[in-house]
Amino acid sequence: MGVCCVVSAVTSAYLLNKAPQKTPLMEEDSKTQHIDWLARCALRDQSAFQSLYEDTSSHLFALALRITRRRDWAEDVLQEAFVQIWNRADSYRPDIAQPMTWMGTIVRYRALDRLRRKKTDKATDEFDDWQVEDTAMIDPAQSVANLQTGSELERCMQELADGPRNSIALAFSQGLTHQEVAEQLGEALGTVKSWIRRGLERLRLCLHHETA
Amino acid sequence: MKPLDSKLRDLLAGRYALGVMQAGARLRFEAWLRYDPNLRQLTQRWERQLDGLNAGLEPVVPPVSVWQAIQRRVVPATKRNESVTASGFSVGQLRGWRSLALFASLTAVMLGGWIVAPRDAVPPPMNLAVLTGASGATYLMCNDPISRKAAFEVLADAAIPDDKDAELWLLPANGAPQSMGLLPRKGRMVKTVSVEILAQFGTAKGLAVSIEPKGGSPTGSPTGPIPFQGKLINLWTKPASTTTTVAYQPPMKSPMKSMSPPSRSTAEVLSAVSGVENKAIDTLSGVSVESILRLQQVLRDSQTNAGGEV
Repeated sequence: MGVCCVVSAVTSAYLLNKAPQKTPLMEEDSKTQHIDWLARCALRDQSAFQSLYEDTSSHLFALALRITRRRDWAEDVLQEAFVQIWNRADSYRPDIAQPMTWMGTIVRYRALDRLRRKKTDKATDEFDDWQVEDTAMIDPAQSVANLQTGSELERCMQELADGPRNSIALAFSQGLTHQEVAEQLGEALGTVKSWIRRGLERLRLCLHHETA
Repeated sequence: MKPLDSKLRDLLAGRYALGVMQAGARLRFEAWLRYDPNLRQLTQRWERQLDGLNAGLEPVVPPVSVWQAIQRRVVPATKRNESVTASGFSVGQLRGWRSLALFASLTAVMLGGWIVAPRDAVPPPMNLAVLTGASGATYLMCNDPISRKAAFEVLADAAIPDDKDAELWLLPANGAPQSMGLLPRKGRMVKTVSVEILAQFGTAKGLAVSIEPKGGSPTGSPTGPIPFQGKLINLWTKPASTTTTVAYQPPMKSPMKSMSPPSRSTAEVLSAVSGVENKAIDTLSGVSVESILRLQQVLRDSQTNAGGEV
């Protein structure tokens, strides 16, 4: 299929596009810096907004790409997300979320909006297929392996059985619906639905220290 | 939607954060989130926890066109092109004033209907402080260093006993705290800041509130507990190269709701926040911009009234 060739060309274009990495700030410094920039965005400081964009957009673009798996959609999502970050910077609360979590959540939700919309757009979008990167599907085991060692989420995810764990990792990382997770894992829809439901229930008990 | 037990609410929040809700359900849930703070908290907790699954992403630099598109949406077109009008002000800069109507009218009142501003349309300087206690942001201060008027707002119940008063102190870089007078129990108040106190705003460690006997400290120094403190955040204008006088702009309708952001020069001013430590900005972001703008409005409204010197 021609799709694969286009896909790998697109993929390598991403790799070539990767800018030389800046010396990464220490995590805590970078967090404080992001909080500072967001506070200034709330005061309508456009140069702070630009600094924030320059520092975070490549991570957030990767996030949008992983979910949408289409470069044009990921670009739209990133644009929507940053306009929203600018407009809502005053509602950011450092005591509730880390700045990257807050911004990443905005990107994820805009990407999910875009994905869920595609169902209705499909008839009008002739180029729907050629830009889809089938190769970009992640390995759910990998995204669990990437979890910060010793983190509570890692511990709780490891406690799940393979099915629920992989379903949850796929659903979150790629923004897949139940149906898409089922297709990806080659399982029945009903099975995946109950894996995700039970997986979330167990995660809730483990992460929130609830008792059943 | 029917009230749900806490477990079901939490699981629903988890399904939303995980992203497995269908489009219609997502929209309904988002509408629900808007008026249910508890559901928001549950959702935010899941968002924080699941965020760990985003680890290990290889960054991908987006094309420049994305940033250009974002800029087109947050910066007014006229500002980007900088077309200068006969008055020496670009249309974009005048539009920038829209978002700065409060700053602008503040200055305007002081100067009798004329705005004397640097050519680049910078707002006047402003000192802000958020005094925080065990239960969060409690007092907010906005001071206009030109008129020396400071507006205070009690943001949350400070739980001052009935037989006591809350007294505000400046914590100088060196030496003992200096009293800035008593704070109200609730609501807002405007006072004039003395030249001596104002002169120390640039170097002070911050402000603090102590609990004192009725009428304030009998000794001139704090005698009771000091439950609230905050840093001073000083927004200053950059040194102006040229000064221009422009006609007073009538107040715009709901200027703060305007989506068009201020001109870049405003941003430059705000980015010139001097001597501000990150922690101070952090406390500022615990207070909504609306609160600050509202208090600035109070300050503007008070410009014609005399206030007690502190």
